[in-house]
Amino acid sequence: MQNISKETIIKAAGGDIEAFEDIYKVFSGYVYAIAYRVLGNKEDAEEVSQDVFVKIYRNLHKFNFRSALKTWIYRITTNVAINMYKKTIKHKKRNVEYDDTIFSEKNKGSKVEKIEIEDKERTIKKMLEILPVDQKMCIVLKDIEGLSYEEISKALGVKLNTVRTRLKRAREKLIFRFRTRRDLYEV
Amino acid sequence: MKCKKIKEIILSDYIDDELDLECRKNVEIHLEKCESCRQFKDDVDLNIVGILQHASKLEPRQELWYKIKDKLEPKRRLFVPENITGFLKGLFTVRKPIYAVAAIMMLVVVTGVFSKLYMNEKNSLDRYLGEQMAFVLSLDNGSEDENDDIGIPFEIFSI
Repeated sequence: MQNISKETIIKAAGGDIEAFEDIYKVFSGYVYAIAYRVLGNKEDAEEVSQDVFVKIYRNLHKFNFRSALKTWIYRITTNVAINMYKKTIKHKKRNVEYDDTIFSEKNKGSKVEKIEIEDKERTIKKMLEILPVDQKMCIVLKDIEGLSYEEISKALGVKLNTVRTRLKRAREKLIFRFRTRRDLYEV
Repeated sequence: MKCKKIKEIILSDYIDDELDLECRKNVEIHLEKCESCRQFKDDVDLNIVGILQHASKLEPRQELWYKIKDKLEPKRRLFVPENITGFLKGLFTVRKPIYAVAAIMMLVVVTGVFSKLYMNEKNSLDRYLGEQMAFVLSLDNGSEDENDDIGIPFEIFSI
């Protein structure tokens, strides 16, 4: 992840849109990816991304450099995504169909490779749908985004042991599903 | 170490590389001896974590930045009503009755002032037209008006 200079953060905090765009360019992929993996569709993912970046812009003056900017942004993203998830669950708006969201590798490679990528993404989507949102978020942050236990703990505002437990339970569910009902993993 | 405990560790710290060196070594010694735990570890590695770790990198659409920018920098927009009904509804919707009364009274006063001005103007015009008409009619009737006499006989004037 490219580093954002302190100067850029201070400028953006002062309302400089160009400086804020630099921050957006570095973090938009991560924010969108987390939102998409948790919510399962691009419309909600875009809405969450918009909310996250508006929140970042309006609260950047409060960022005190005690943690990394990345951790702070992940914290906002996970909160907004989880809140949106709970809201959409209530209204049963979740779209469980595969949609043609943009995968950066999708336009590269042969037709066979593209089909493989789509199959892989369908499988991942099915796996994540099995999990409750708190476990899903830990799996996304750990296995897809590659955060450490400590980073996840700070992003979610929970203890390290809570992260550990959630990951364990999530993987137990997934391995059980894999071993007993393999068809649910197959496209 | 019992298999149940080993499997718990595999599902979290072992697979996530969060174990210290000594614990990791103990787990690996067990895995060398236990086929069931070894198979379990392979399943988690290949069919769970392995798949997730190879998830595609996602990118939002380019338009997303412009939507965000619009929210950060709201611009004044020309009011363009979607339809006439909506426009009229918006125009005549009044939040407080007192404002409606004041607006109506203002309308009445302005109408009255302009009506009076118009009437005055109209009366002047009518008067002028009446005078002109009388003059024209007087010419037709051949009536002489001493005011028309310029004091010089026609014969002298026409020289």
